[in-house]
Amino acid sequence: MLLAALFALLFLTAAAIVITQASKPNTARAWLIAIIGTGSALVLVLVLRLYLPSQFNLIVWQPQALWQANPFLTLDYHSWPYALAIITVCLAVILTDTTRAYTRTSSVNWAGSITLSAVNLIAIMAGDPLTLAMSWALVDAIKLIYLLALQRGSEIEGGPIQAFGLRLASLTALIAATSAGWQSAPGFTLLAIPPKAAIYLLLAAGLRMGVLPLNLSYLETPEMRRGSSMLLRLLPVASALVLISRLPAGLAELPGILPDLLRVLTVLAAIYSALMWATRINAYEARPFWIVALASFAVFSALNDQAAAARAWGLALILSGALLFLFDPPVRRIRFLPLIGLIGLVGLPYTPLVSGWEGVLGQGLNFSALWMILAHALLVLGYLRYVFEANTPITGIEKHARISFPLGLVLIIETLLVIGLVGWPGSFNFGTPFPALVSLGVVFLGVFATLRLGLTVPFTDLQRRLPAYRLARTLFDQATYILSLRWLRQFLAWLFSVLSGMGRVLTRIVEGPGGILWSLVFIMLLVTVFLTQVRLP
Amino acid sequence: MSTPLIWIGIPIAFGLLLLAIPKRRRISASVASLLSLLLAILAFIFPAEHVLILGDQRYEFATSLAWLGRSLTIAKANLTLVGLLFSLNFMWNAFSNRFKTSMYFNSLSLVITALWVAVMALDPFLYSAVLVQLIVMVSVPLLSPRGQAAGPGLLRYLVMQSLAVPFILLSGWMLSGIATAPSVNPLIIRAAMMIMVGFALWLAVFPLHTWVTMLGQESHPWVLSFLMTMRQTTVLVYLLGFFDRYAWLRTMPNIDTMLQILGVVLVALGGLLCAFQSDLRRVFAYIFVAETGYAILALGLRSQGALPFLAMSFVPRALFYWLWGYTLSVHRDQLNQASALFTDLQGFFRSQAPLSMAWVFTLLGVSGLPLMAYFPPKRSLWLLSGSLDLGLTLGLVIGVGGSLLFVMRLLRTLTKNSATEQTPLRVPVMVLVTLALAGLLALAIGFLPQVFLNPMQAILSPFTQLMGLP
Repeated sequence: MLLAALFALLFLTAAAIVITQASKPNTARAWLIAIIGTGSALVLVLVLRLYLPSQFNLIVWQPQALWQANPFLTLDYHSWPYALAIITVCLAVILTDTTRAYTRTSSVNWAGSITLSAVNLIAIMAGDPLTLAMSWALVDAIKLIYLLALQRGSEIEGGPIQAFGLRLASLTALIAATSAGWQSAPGFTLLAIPPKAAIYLLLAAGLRMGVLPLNLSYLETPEMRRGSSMLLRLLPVASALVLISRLPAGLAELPGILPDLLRVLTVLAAIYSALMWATRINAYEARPFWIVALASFAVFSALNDQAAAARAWGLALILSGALLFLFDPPVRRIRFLPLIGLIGLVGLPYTPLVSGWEGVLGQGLNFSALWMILAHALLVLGYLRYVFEANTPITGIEKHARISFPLGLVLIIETLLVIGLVGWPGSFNFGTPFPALVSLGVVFLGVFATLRLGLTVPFTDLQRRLPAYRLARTLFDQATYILSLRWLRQFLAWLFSVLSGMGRVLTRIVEGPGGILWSLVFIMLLVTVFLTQVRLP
Repeated sequence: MSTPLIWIGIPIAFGLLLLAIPKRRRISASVASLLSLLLAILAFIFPAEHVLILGDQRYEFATSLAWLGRSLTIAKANLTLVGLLFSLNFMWNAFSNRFKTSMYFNSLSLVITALWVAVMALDPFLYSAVLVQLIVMVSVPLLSPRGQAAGPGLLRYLVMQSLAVPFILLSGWMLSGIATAPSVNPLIIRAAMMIMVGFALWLAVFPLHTWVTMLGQESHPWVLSFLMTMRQTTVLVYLLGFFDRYAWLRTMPNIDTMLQILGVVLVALGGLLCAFQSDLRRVFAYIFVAETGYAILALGLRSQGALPFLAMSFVPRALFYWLWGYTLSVHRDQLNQASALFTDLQGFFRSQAPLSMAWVFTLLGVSGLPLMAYFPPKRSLWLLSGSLDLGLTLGLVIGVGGSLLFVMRLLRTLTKNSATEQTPLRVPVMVLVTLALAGLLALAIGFLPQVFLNPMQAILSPFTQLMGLP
């Protein structure tokens, strides 16, 4: 019942904002309603920690023997930390929006943020593939409509549509996974995923996060930078991360070269994204790379048969990411707050991410694990860079915003600490500090080298300062071209045009004057092939 | 009074009467809609004993009507399908006077619906093939309204449909004396092939689908969507009748495997061919091919219990066909857009966002996107075929992937910047309300299939042999 109450609370809050704003607009009142509603939801999620695992049955499709579907939500040690993170980020967005609440649409955005959080909560709590598929479809539809509405007045690039296409592909992979899983366990739930379905589910999650294959289809637009829009970017990834953390062991023992191939692709995605993250002009431009890089760590953990460790990486993606991205305007005086967010990213003992290193080192300290540690160092380096670049001496912030803005950031830090302490059994442990220390060592080296070489963003004088710059630049450009998969898209476009041309020829033949005869010839041919292949007596 | 008279005689009589007032579109549309709605409701609530008690009056209805040495039989078991057909007729007639269709649409649609009911009711049932041919003839004035030259698509439609009749009739006569022979009898295999070819022609199975693509370009989308929805629904049930009556057909070795492969091939081809289209009017044909594939797949998976999903798919499929016809008709008649080519639709989202989104919604819905009306039955078919053979899943993924690729291309075209300035196009509020209601209905069906789809299983109750019913 508490689960149902949580959703009711969130949806009612959103509805209350919309209704009150429609009757008598008042931004302050709408903000207060949003804070009270989301704050209560946060308390409720904290209370739910005492009742894990909790389950809530949605409408059952009767008769069950026919539909074989029993949609339900479940809150367990995999989904609870994400639920807490989502509500926290939603509340933090509303709190920090006080510095940006100058547009008339702010209150609508808060209602939208709360609704989006609620829908994403359904996705992360999905207990079975059916509920997950439906919630993913809902999230994707909302996101598409939002993006199309956002850009209606201006040029709409292919980005949102490509992203939507990838999400549809991810949904297809999810359904294929369900189909494969049914071969050994009809009607299976996400609490006990059959090994046969695991690889398809990994693909579904990988596609959704842009890791497998590497995809950054929708780079940021200015409108997506701030506040509520950030939720649209971060939250849909959460459900894929929960799915990864539920994957069964056995991915490392897949037949053939598939595990190694997937591992190589994941490491490449991590290294490339981390490098791009560390070298973009600002944090907003770098955001898609942050998501892909940290999601790669989650996928890598699953490939090492340490799927549960993916949870720690996913939470770092959402919480540390939100802390940095909500630090807008970047007020110099409080930049220590996002710096504290590093406790969620470095992975030192007794911090939430320490469990994540178990996933990276699942197969021991091998070549790919070393690359992942390097990618991690780049992520930390980039994070530090974006925090230290925050040096805006802001004036003119309203009094209440001076409290609420840092409060939103502190809330995220508190959640990081809470998850580190009680996120799941064993979350508060010493773990393996070695990779974090290596990574920090690389970071210090990086910082030292950067200072020594006097490099500053936007790295316009690299040619003068770096030795063998031209060679490095050529190699980097080539790597970027390969990893951006532009060549694959060009190849697919070429293939499509060839097939399309063949289709046009075929159409001309069958729809031309001799078309009926051609159709009959085709059908006789097909019947003959059919009879010989199926070997009817 | 008899049930055939109610659901065949009365609509035909009204249809013929309405022929006399073709120019009174509002009256004929109202009469046709109201009558269809009444007949649909009556079919759904008709008592099992065929006895109606109104006050102190008791009306007993015969279920058979002898005519020209043949009999027409409509029992309670057939009434779900009858109700569905008249509901479909209502859906198309209720909105018909908004569009520039043939002035005989209302009258002839009533006649056509009644004839489709007769196809299911006729005994000996093989003779229904002749009735199907009659329906084809009656539909000609709708597809080629007066004053318009008949296009090549219409001629091909006539040729293909006429070709199907001898295939069906000959197969029956060929088998009249050997129905009890073992299924390895070569004559039986020949007859089975003839039946399959006959149905392939009726259902526009690839590569015999060209008449639908051509008609899509020539005819009014409202008319075409109506005719094809009625055709697909009834011919598929008629095909079930063949499997139910002929033990040799349903027990033929490998028949299920054949049907599964054929179904998946059609789904894959329909999706793939759809992906390459750049004219919205042609797309319906490929959706139709893929949908026929799903129905045949369900028939092939009958041992796995897939037949209920075949029956339950009639409602969502019809809903999405209706939406497709409606949106294209609004585009053609209310926005006065002659072309639905991609080149002419560039940037259309900017001038008419609701209609653009309705197209995308319909295509996603008919592809089986989760949350939408078609997802529950399609999901079950996907899972049943996947649990049997992952090769079938691969074919289905290709088909779904093809149709989704088309959706992506369409979205890209609609949101692209066009060379010319897009002037905002306005559609009446009623159109927006209708689209919203249809969308909500599609979502409601997808979320609550037990409410909207489960009753459709009754369509299968006459097929006792096929379903293994007592």
